[in-house]
Amino acid sequence: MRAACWYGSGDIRVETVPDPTIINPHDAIIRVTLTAICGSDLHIYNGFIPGMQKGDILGHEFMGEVVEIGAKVEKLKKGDRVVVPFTICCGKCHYCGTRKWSLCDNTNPNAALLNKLYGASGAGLFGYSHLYGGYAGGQAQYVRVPFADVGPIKIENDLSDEQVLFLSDIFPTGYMAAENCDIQPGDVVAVWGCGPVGQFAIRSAYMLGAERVIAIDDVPERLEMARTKGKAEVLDYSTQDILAELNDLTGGRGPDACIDAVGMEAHGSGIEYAYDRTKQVLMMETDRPGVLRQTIMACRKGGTVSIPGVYGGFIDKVPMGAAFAKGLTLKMGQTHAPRYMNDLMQRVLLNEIDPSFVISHRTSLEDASGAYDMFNRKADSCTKVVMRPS
Amino acid sequence: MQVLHPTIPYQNLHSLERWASILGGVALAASGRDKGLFGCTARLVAGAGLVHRGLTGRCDLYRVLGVRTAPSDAALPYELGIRARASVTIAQPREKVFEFLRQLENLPRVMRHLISVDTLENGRSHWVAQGPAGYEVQWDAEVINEIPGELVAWKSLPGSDVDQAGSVRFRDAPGGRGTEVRVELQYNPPAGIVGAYVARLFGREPEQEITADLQRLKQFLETGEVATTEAQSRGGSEAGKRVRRTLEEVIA
Repeated sequence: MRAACWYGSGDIRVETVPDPTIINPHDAIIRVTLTAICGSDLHIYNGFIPGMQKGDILGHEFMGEVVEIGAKVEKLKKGDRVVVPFTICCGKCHYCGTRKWSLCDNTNPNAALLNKLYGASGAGLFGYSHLYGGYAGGQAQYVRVPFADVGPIKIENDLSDEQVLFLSDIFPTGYMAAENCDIQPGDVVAVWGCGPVGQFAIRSAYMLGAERVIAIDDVPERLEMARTKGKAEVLDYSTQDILAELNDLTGGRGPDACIDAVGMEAHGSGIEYAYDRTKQVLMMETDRPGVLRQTIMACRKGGTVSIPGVYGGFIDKVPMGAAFAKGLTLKMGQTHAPRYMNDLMQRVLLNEIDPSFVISHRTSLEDASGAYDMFNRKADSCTKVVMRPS
Repeated sequence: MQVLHPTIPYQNLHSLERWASILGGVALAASGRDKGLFGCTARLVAGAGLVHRGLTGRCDLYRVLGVRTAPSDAALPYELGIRARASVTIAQPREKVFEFLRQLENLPRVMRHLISVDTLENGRSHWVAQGPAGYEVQWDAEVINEIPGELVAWKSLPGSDVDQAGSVRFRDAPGGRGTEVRVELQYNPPAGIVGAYVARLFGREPEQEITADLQRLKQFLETGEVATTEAQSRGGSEAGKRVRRTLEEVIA
């Protein structure tokens, strides 16, 4: 089969690799009909995710048709159309039992590595480094899906691939980011980052009852999408003083909840950004926390900072004093995707949202290398690329 | 991981080595006669040290390094070695977890470096494992204490490649969360403490290994399979190579 393989920072190659096979009894093999590049794939593309090996197959947003099932798969059968969540969940452990799916105990074969790094390991993830299990990803013609009865949802309606694909990650991720804000009537939610997750966070915040949503970025077309599709008020950090503007827009209170939909590769300007960039290059700091600092400083007393953006290592000069003094709640973590997939699909069926609005580019899997480059440079107004394996 | 440094002196030299030490010490001391005052004194002192080492059968360097050439009847290396411990909580009833582990032949399913375990007579068993640097190590063990559902303790028998003793304890986790399994293991690595450190350099730290084994045990008992990405497809020079067998084949 053909698959997008990682070879190093900025080096993605589409290669012919062996077809996947059933390895464990709860596995299924999916023929991928549509896959996407996630913003978090760019962290891998830029070399910020440790534990990658040359030849690793990327991709954790994918859907397709079941073509083979293992001996113990009961709910799925050949021919089923499924969307597969990016987290691999066993369905049996304490965490799966309490719906904290992304913290699954049993699906990361390399848990010992993350134990060392983080003290414990969460679920294995598709195509997201050997720290998260080294599972081959879905930017390929076929993919092996472990515990196929647990995570994947069957699509038994006539929604298009583009309308349901993002149930795999970014729609639930944006939704959980908003849910973590514990939105109350009258709340103002500020969202840093208007990439796809930010866009879904904006839409979800309104779904969950936010009064106003303020979106922050510096890419004009993304701000435009947030304004027109998301009905958000927008701020451009390249020309505006974000803290002052937010203060102004909220009557001096500050946003009730702040969402960091950017994560470890935050961009910024001025001395602070230069400081983080330098420390990162010198490997004195693994992640650039510019946005995280700002969310903490901006958030109102007693408010919530919700962090769907990915962090991987160590950060400097986080204003813990401000977080403490203001009694903030910080919520974060990988998305418990299976918790949301069915509910969110109902919202799509009810026409509350058409997730395909974030797609800017449609291409073939064969063009993966160019697509990564374009998405990374945000070239050609790229916000989201979907790829069809031929 | 804890490295035990014995404080009580004990004999750690084999009798052949003791004789070699005595004879070598005498020869070294005697060789200093025509080497001038400094050379003569130095050789006398060094020679006397070797003689002392041979007469007492104790070597301080070996002690620090955890090396022992003396034959030992004690299967319990209480005075030196490596101690490791690890725990896991398994969402299964205590009896089930205990029964699975008590059936020793099950262990190679979840313990990655264990090649085989055969139950012998009188509560004894024969173990074969993958040692550091690809060596195979073997030992016989006997159960020295067993409380059904709560505890199994064992020690290796004389003549083992790895002197060791260990225990597995079981207790109910709070809130109906299953069973807490605690493993404690004390052993004398084949190449002494140096060997253990070298093994550590190559990623074979005992506590990490035991933890990983316990996680595989948990995976198997909770889900019926052990998570793996071995034998899956990938790009590059590894493409097309399926070097490892699937778990199903291993179990079958």
